[in-house]
Amino acid sequence: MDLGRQESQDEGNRFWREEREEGAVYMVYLKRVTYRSHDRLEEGEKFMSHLMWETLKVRVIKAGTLERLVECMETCQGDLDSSHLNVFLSTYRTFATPEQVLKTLINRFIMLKSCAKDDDRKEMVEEQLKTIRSVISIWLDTHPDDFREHPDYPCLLDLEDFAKEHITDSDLGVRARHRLEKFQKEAKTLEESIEEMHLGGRHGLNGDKIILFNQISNRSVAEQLTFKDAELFRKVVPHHCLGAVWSRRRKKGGKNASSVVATIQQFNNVSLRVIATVLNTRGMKTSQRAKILQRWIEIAQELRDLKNFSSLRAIISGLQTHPVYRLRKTWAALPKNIMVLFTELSEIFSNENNQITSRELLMKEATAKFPDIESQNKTLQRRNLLKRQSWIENGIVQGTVPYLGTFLTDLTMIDTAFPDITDDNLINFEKHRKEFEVIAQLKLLQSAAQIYQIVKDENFWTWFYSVNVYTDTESHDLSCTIEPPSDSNAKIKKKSARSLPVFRSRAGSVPNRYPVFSTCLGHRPVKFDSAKFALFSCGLENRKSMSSIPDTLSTLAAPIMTHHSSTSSVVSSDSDNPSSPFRSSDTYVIRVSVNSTSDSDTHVYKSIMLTNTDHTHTVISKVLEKYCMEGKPEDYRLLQILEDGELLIPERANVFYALNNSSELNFVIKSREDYETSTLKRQKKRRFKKLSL
Amino acid sequence: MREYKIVVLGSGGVGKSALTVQFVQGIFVEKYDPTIEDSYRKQVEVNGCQCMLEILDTAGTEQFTAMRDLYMKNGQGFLLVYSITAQSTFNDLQDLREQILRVKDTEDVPMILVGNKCDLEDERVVGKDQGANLARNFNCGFLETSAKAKVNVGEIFCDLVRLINQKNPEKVPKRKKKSNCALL
Repeated sequence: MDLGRQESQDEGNRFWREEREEGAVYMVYLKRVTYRSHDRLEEGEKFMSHLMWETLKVRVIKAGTLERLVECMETCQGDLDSSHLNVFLSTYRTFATPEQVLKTLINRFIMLKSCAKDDDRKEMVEEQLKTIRSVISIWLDTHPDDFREHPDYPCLLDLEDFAKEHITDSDLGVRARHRLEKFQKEAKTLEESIEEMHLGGRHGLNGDKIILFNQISNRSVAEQLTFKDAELFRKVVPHHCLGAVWSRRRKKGGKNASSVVATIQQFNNVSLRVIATVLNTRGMKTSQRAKILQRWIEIAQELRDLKNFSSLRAIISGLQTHPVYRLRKTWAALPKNIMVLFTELSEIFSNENNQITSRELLMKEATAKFPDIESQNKTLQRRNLLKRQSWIENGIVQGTVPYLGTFLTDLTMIDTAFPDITDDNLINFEKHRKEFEVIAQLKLLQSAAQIYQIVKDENFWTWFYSVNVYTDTESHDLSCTIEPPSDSNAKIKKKSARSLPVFRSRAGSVPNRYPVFSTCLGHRPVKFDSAKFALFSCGLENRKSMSSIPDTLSTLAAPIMTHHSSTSSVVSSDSDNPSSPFRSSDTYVIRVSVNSTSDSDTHVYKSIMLTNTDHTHTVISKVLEKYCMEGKPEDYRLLQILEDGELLIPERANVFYALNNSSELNFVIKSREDYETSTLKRQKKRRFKKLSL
Repeated sequence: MREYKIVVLGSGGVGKSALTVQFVQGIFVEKYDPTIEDSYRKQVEVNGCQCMLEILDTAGTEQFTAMRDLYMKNGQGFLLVYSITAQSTFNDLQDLREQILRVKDTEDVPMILVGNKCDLEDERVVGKDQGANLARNFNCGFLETSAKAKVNVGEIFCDLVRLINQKNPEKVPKRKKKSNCALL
């Protein structure tokens, strides 16, 4: 048809009905097609120009026998239905072997060829035969490994015979032969290389000097892990991830999913090394151990820059395993910005809302040139900006490696939710269409993983495999020798509180503890996951989730909290954390509201972190900045709200010491005039009282 | 509405995913999409209160061992699932429970022992009494289920919510009392 076809977007396809035939069920959609008149319409076709649109029937196979599914590779005009072919080739291994599919194709070809003598259908049949040839050719090109059947290669041999006999006018037979020879050659080299590895592998270990962890730069660690992850990910055979293969691998007749296993092994290897390097430090000082934590967090950041979500997640998970995570003292020794970095990186993998954060991030960055790193922290923001600039200037393009687990879970769930076979005993192709949506994403990412240009560094891998890793129990025991378990927790806390002056004297060199941190380690996982810097951006909704807040506002806050995840969860998982997140040894988080006018009932406040060096003016400036207010700190007064009134914090005071810490840390700032008028009023009132008395 | 974070744990192949899908989707399985934001959220009524359950199912990622601790940290209640047709899946739960207690650092964690696939009576190798004994040992609830035959699926989730409520009663009623007192 020479008419310009244009599918109107808003109409789309509308489901009309199901059609059943022998061996197949179709879904029939009505598709409205709008025609644009073409200038180059010929005279004879002019009568057609009044045809503005028409409704076409589109049939999509829902379930069918293998023969029917193969037939559907041809459209009703006899040409190739490439989208059906794509779905079929990506998923057929769950219901048929390559040999069965090839046989079905060949049988159909021979059957159609015998019909070609019939004059009426000649043209159609010619088209169909051409389609079958393209199907085989595309299959051979896009899924060559389907034909890698060492040592006999029955499919390739069958294909060669078939081509010789029936397709004499093309090179299909020759290509099959070439493929066969290539596979045989590759199998031979593989065998040889395995032998070599057995002989040479040990030699390498003995000969090379093993380098130490601290001799490798963070960047190299990240690059080498990415090299490995990208290589393994590219090798993942997409159909190995399908539920029918992966999640049923242990069952009778379960298939091999070695490419997936290899990826998981590497993931676990990375986590285990994180745990081992942190715990294998018994003789070390806490600060030295903290340095190792810091290194892994910095490596994680490098992996984020490289868009390697697999090792990134492996490291974050390793750091969050109980034996490492429970080392409170070690974590407490981390600089503040490293702790912020860790929190931000771990938030990527929050399980909240079906991992929406990591899903969205992956989709956004899958094919982007470089990552779009965000941070709430100013220092980090600046650093990211610089990085970005250098990427642009140097024309750097990063590949992507995703965390495979999300795909495995999604495909397992699809496999569970939809049956393989319909009630009529047909192959449920609708299921495979759903699976293909996930597989298509995986394939897209696999092509993105090819972009990396990293060279393997044997030294790194010698180190990597030389690390002595621990079992779960060993890790736990080691962790407990480093920091004794919970019954002595209370003592530790008191101790560290008493040793406060020591910290303070070094306040310049040891940055202030980050209060979210105590939240992280104090078994407050939910908070930790969901609230982004809750303590710094405390709005109403967070008020609800903090246990130490007065109850007056609970009714007001209740409607907001539904999504921001449960107070209850915080409280419940919090049974063993008596310390308030608001108070750590040398920082407080205070809540400050602004007294605008007489309406002192305002419930809006901002949380401010207060360190032991903050003076009144610093605090007021912070508050003004938070509320986006202009003005000089000198024009405002800071008051602590006490149960029995307000406490004016003197202008030159160190707020940290000046405040009344036996009460709630609620503050208000008032403009100088407001403060003075209100105090005047009060004084007058008092005078009145005195007079009336 | 109070939100509950429930984690479904157990070896591969015990039918965890089937329980989850059956519970969140019920009869509408055909519309199921595992990739969207609220695929694993479901609202239920327990003891007259509306509850929002967010279910974390680790199906397909059992072998990513380092991730388990984080799942456990995040969960408030746990379904420990085994298959009545596979003894090894039953034996695996002992370690899993110990890991939960270690991560949670308490002996009292809301959990329910679930013997799945009870429709496959012919293939049963783990007796119901074995399950009940282990539950007594664990000091937790116990039910046999069948995702396929839709037996006890809703029950395990709702029972778990009750256990979580027992351990951590909701704070709101307390507040009401408090404010009442203030009024008086």
